Amino acid sequence: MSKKIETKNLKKYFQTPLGTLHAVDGVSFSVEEGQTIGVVGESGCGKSTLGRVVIKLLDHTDGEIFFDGENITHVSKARLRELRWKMQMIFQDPYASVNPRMTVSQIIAEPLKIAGRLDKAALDGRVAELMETVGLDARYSMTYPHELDGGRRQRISIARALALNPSFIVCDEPVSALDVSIQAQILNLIKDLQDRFGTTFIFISHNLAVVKYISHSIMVMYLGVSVEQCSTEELFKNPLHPYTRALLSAVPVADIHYEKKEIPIKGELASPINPPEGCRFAPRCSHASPKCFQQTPQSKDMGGGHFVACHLYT
Amino acid sequence: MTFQKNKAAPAQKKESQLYEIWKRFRRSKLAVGGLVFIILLVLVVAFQGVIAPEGVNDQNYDNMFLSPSLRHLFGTDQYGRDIFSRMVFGTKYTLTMGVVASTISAVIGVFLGAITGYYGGRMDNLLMRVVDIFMTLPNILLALVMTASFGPGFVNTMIAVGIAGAPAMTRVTRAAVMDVGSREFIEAAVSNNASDLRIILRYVLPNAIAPIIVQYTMYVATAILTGSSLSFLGLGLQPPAPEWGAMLSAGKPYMRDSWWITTIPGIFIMLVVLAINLIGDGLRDALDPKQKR
Repeated sequence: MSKKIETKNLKKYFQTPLGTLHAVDGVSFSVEEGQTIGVVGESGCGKSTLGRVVIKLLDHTDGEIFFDGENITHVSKARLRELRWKMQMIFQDPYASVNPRMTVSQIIAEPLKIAGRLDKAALDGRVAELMETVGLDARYSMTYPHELDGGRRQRISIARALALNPSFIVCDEPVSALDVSIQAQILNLIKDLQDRFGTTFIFISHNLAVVKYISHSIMVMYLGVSVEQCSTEELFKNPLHPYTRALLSAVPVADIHYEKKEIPIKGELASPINPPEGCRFAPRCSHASPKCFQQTPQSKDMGGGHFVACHLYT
Repeated sequence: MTFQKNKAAPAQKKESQLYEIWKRFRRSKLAVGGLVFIILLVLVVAFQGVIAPEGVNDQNYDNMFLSPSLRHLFGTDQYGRDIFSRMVFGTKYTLTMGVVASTISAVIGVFLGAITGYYGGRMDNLLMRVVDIFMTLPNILLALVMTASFGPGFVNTMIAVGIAGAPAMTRVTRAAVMDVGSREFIEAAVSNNASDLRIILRYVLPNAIAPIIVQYTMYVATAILTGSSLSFLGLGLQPPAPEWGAMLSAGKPYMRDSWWITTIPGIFIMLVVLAINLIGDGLRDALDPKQKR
């Protein structure tokens, strides 16, 4: 298997009136073709920004991005147009991500029309096919998004993303705005699509249970950096980073005899504006030593592709 | 359970977008009323020679200051001219002034507002300061200066009034465009390679149309009044022309004894303004698919 997407030391800074905001600060990861990487972390840790930078909806500040082995860090406008047919995004809020003035079929047809590859009849056929693929009844084709519920709207969004047969899709919290019952439907749909089309996904979420269900590997982010990366199985069996452990201990277990040992995380998420040297998690970490406040830990392979950035393991 | 009937209608049959909008527009009785009134006035313009019982400037010094009667429906003015006939002939000026001036302001304002609101940056900043400067001046003064420099006349007045309304239109459009521009579906369009022109025309403006239409219809009213004021000041239409605002102004000295000389044009200016505002409200709702029940 080949690497579908790979980043090396990817950074994205925003200039704000208060200083430089380090939204993504040196993230390296890769996804095998046809696999899903889950990106978890709390609100504001830069996971959405990472997703947008990877598909070049936002310009990066530093680092490199590879797509199908091609360095796409700096590409021409024409090449970017071609790349965008192959890389798509499914957005978080199904109420904001579709144009309320277009009908369902118009929304799904947009990417096809812009690409201009199909004539009218073929276009209608393709839209019908896409609606069927994502499980939208044909009778909704002439309705407007506001007449549909969140789950169906998210299906529109997925159909639009699939329109041009992309090989890579970034899902930015696609289920967090939905009811739990509908979440499962959408997750299963995404899984089915992967089985059918071999699509590669980056699945961004703050919900560990969701990520566990859908991902082959997981990256845990904290304040713009990747603190731990490994296969899903390994992460849940053998979490290494204190932050990951705390997160996992917070996941509810459906067993009344289970004795819960929650590891509390003290304090608030620190500001990503001009962060100090040292481990980002140190101020909230129960294992923090003076070294953690002075030196930024580097990501280290603990064997079997299990990467962790923590001074406990150096 | 009447509402179930509507719900069951299959969404399959394809109807043109325009027909959909018309169907929603039809639902508002007030808006349809406004439209009927304006259509009536357009018909009056078309058949003005047939409708008006007397010529536009037929003076008759035996019939000065006659109050409304069957012979003179709206009475006569200080020169004995039949006000009904003059109102009929004046309709085209009022309608043209309101619609053309507003359209000029909308074309300039929507273009500038969409560009500055969507792109932002330095150009936006610069242009908005210019708009600020223009907004500190009253419309009438702005229009006055422009007509004075273009020279008087109906066409020049319309252009001047239109340009005078552009800054406010730019402001309104820009604010609406900025609001829409930050939503996720714009990002989705970008990731689908939609061109900036397509994004502005298909995504941004349709979702920003409501405040623009309100501003447009409000400005029709302002334009009619401003145009009339300019006529009064001698910069718009010259006196014998039966422009409603000019008629109203000219009747002012006789208001105590002959109320109809000022009141009749005043009522009709108000009715036109009201009708256009009602149409605007109806159109705004009709263009919003969420109004479909």
